[in-house]
Amino acid sequence: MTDYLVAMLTFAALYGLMSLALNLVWGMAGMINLGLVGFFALGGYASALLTHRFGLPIPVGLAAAFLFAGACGVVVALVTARLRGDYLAIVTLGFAEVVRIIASNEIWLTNGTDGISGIPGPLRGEVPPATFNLVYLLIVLAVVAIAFFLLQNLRHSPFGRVLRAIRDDDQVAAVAGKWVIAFKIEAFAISSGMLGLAGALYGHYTSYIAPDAFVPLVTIYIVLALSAGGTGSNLGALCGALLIVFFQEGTRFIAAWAPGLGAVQLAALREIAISATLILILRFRPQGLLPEKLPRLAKR
Amino acid sequence: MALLEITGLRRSFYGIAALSGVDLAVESGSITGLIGPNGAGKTTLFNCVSGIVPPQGGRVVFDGADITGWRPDRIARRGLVRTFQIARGFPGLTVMENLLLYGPDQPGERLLPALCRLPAARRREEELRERARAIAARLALDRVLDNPASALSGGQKKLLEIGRALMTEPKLVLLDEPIAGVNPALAEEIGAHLRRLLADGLTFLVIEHHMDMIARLCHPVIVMAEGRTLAQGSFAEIAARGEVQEAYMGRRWAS
Repeated sequence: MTDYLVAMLTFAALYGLMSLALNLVWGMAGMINLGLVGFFALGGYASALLTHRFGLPIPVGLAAAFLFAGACGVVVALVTARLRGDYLAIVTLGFAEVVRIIASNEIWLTNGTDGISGIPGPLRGEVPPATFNLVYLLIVLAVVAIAFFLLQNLRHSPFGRVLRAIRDDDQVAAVAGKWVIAFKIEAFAISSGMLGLAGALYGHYTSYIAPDAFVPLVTIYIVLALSAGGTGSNLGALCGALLIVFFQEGTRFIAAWAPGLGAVQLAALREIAISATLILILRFRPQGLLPEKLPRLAKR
Repeated sequence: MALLEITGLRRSFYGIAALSGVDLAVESGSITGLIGPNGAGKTTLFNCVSGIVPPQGGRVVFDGADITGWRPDRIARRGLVRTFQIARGFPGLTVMENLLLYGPDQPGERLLPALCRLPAARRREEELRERARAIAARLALDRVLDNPASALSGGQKKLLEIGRALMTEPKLVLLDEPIAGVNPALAEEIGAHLRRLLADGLTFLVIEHHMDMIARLCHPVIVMAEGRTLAQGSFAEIAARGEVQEAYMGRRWAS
């Protein structure tokens, strides 16, 4: 049971990292990125290839994943510079699918749909699996904590204020003297880099990545996590990620008090329970569980 | 030399000319009025001058620099700022943040200083907050500084538009209908604010439809019609001219 909890917390932390990344680009800057899983995959493959195939150390792989996914984020941000709302959502969704299809077909590089197995993990094989899992959880939690700290700094800085202004009206932000496109690219790049880092951490944890792990559903879960937690709030992003994983996993135990239902029916019941909860949250608390707070700056 | 000089400015949208060669000049230390019937191109002129819509021909010279086709943020940093007709802004930010956003030279708007919370950014923030408080007090917005801008009344939003423009320490402010939809008492108050700011050394170019306001506040007055400047002079001169009346009222064909 402890092993199970540790594993779930690790996944929750990875979701949390992705949710924080989405909060930067969507919650703060107002650009909806439905290609989260694409950047996640880019980071996963970058680090897996560098450490597994070229034998580079894991920290190098993680750094490369951040930089590579961030650079791809710059390219996507430049290509989509003039798009907003639904159009941006569709293009980024398409981007993630393109990444997945390339990963499925460029077998020389990614081993296609068979995926890459045997990705090294820190101390894996040197310590018992339970210890590895615990150590890895601590590593991921440390990354999330650092990301949270830095993003809180950003959110409360004049930089974060400009992003929130761009979210409201980018034309007026330009008139206010802000070079809007530069801010958008910066936000997109950092967010994408964080997603790439999350992908790399995922690969080193599970030791195996394949295109079928990078389906759009993952993006949807992150969007739901942030919406439920509170768009615009970093704490809400983490809270929402925890909530999503808790529901995904907690509903496994419905079986215990719902006898007489088949496996397929139980699976459907889980989906219903998750969806119903999210609908209830969005109906009765549309700003999310921990909504964005406005700063109080008037007093000296 | 005029503070703002526009020559032969052109812009069309899908073949329809909105500006077909506008020439006008705004003298430093004036409240210049810009009037004209709907569709005359006044707001398009503001959009082209402030860089939101790139012009397709002509020149805009501001404070000795040719700013034609510049990005809006560069134009704003140069000291030319505009407001919007329907009070636009940042409803998700507080009034204070709306003001602070317009503050120039904030190092905390760059990524690394923001991530590391550099002291330089915090010092500048404190200066800007002081400035914002002073401007808010002047515009009677000091009680609502921590409210979200979306919670302001229509009149307060208009005042905030002006306050935000002032935060940039501008030389020239383009005001797009600053008193449209505002009650007469507040309109009078806004007029008084503008006069005081004029005395402080600011220059305004004002689009407005309230003729009594224009008459009392603006000198000179420029009339635009069909994408061109039609006439210029004091309000009395303008009002007396036949082609101006014609542009507003239409021509009488019979008799």
